Amino acid sequence: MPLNNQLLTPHWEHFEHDADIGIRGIAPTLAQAFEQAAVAMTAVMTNPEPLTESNAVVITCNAPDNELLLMDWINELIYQTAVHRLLFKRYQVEIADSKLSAIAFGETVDRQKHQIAVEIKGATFTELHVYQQPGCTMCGRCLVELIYGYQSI
Amino acid sequence: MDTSQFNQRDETCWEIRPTGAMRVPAIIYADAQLLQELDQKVYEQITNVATLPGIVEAAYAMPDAHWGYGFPIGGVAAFDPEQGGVVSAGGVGFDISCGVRTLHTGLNIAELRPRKQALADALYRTVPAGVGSRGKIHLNHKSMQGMLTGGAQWALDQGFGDEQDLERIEEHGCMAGAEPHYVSPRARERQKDEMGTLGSVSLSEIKSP
Repeated sequence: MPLNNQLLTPHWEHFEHDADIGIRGIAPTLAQAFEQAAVAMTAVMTNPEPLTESNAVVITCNAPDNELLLMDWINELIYQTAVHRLLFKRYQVEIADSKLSAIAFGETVDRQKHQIAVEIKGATFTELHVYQQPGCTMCGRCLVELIYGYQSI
Repeated sequence: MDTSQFNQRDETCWEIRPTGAMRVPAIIYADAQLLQELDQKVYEQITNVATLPGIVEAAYAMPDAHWGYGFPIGGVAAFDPEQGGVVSAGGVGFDISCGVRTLHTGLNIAELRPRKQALADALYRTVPAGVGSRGKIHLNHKSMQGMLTGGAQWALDQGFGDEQDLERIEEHGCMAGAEPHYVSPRARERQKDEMGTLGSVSLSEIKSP
């Protein structure tokens, strides 16, 4: 894909960290970048593609700046996942005046079906950054702390 | 890491002299080869630790140092409260008490080795862990308060152990002066169905001695 098109198409990435894993959302708008960062978060735990959208959760967050808003947003989703046992496939985000309103679509965790690799403990300040890239796309990233399953040594 | 960034004190002790906002030196313990293999992030993070208020003598990094959260993992520092010293969550460690427990099985290595995988699988089946797991213990407001206040003694009172267990746990499993009312309603909500699971911890390991 040509570079310009790639920048304009909302997408997500993971990036390496010694202890955990980084999530990054890249899109033309801030709200879309937050949506993509959230998909990246789901993708840390499981493949988001096969998930259904049988549940919808309304989420709102307030924060004094975009970095803290991204962290609050991701932590809110982690909370919803932990408490209501939901895995989210898709997100609709609106951001205005440092206030985020969103609907997260997904389904209840089925441990047999979803093959969950890890659980996420929380979003962190490490590598937390929201910035505009060349080509005027927005990028939001942070590191999420993971909980692993088990291993025998 | 480039060893030329350091003042070598002896074979395994490397000093970064204070510059900029650093209040004290940073010291890394490693031999030359290990130091070269360490991530440059360790340098950034341990010199950042050296800038924290109230730090005493030096910021130290142990030979296992690697990139962490604020503090490098393997970082050590002491802070004097009378000099404005801070309490650093990164220094304490985010995984502290994350379900890591050592249990003496009474088995020797020859008995354990052929059954390691089966034992790990049995633990995995028996101990609820991960997203979507549910244990057999569900806390309401009152029992949550009892658990937070009573600690390991609360678990004993519920029949989940015996007195000898307390002798093996730091502070007998209940820190004096703790203030559980600071545990937020959301943290309580995440915890209430996770008691008795490995839901909030890292991993179980079976290690041969």
